[in-house]
Formats: sequence, structure tokens, C-alpha cells
Amino acid sequence: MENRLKERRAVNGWSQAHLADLLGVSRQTVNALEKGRYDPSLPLAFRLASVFETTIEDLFHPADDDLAPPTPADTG
Amino acid sequence: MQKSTNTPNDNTPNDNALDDNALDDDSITDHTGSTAAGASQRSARGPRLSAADKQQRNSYLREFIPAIVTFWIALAVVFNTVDANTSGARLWVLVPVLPMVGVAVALYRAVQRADEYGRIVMLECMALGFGASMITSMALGFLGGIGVAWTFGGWLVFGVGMTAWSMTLLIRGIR
Repeated sequence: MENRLKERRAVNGWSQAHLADLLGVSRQTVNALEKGRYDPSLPLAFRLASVFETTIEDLFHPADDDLAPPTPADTG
Repeated sequence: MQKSTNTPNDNTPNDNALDDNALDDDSITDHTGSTAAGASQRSARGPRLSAADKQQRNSYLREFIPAIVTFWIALAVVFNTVDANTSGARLWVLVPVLPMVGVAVALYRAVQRADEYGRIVMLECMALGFGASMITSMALGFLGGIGVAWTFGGWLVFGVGMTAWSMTLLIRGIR
């Protein structure tokens, strides 16, 4: 999953800690989200959309791999 | 002159957020809230901890510190007074284990308080520590099966598990 969180945060002029405060999560969680190391749960994705006053689809979009159906090799 | 009215819950811009560093403020913060970033970096980049970080850290320390202090006191008292030749020595020497229940409760509650990402990181690190302990105890079990017994094998299991756990937590914090 790819996201525009860092870009949107920059537009708003927020620090990671400030965004974390708005979301009620740790700053490390915001950092992991921005770096793409962690995909948020649906409730957190909705909170992000609410904080940025936009939609989840505007913030997150699938990477090419996310759209491909799993192959037998992926499922073992 | 316009007065700033920023609060943690409004959506107004943070004054220092447009600093490049503040926008890419990747630092070493573990999920009990402690930081390894230097004080000078901290002041240059703005706040390093969110309100949730501070609340979690303070709650954890409030529960962890009394338990660990009690443990060290119990350890000092017991190992200065224990006499292996007395009938109650086997119970007396286990007294320092009791405060560790408080440490375990503090850790459990820290996991419960963590947000969704923090909980995953903490549980992954604990799982690795648990796995390392299990492998070590299995190795000691096999050695015991051929008559190789080590008096301090329990401490080896504890040490390997704790090392694996804390190292993983450190590495995850740095990444």
C-alpha cells in the first residue's frame, strides 16, 4: 500500500508528533505509516481521513502488487 | 500582532513543522516512550513524543518502577540472609520472584495501552524473546538427557530470552 501521508502532513505544516496527537497514537506509529512499513487498520485509516478532511482513497492507494491476485507460489 | 492559539486538538499548523527535519522526524523511540535521540536534535526538531507517547511512558513507569525497586530490595535482603541449610531456604530464595509479577503486569498493561502498531512491535519482540528462551531450554533439556546438567541453566534461558527481546526492541526502534 502506498500513501500520501507525509505529503499531506507537509501541506498542513504539522510535525509527526502533532499528527500523532491528533490521531491519539504514538509518533513512531505515524513514522511507520509514512514510511509504508505499516498499513493502518480501517478505524485508523478513517481517523486519518477525518484529520486531513479527505477520503481514505485520497490518502491511500494500492501498489501494483496489491492489485494482482495471489499466485500459487504466494500461497505456498 | 496575532496570538497563536495552537492546541493539540486543533488543526492549525505547528510553527516548527515546516522545518525539513520536523517533516522527516524519524528517530529512535521505543514503545515504552523512551527516546535515544539527542537533546539538541530534540530541540531542533520540535517535540519528539506525542501526548499518547508521554501518557503511555508515564503509566508504564508508574507501574514498572515500584515493582523493579521492590525486586532489587528483595534480592539484596534474601541473598544476604539466605542459609541453604535451613528448612525454609527453598521458599525464602523465591521471594524476589514475587515483585517480578508486578513487572509482568506492568508489561502486560503497556501492551494493552499501546496503539495498534506499537502492540504489534511489542508482541513481535516478545515472541522472538520467547522463541529464543524455548530454543535455549530445549538445548539444555537435550544436554540434560545425556547427563550434562548446568546449575545456572535457568539463568541462561532467562538471559538469552531477555537479550533477544531487548535487542529486537532496540533494532525495531532504530528502523
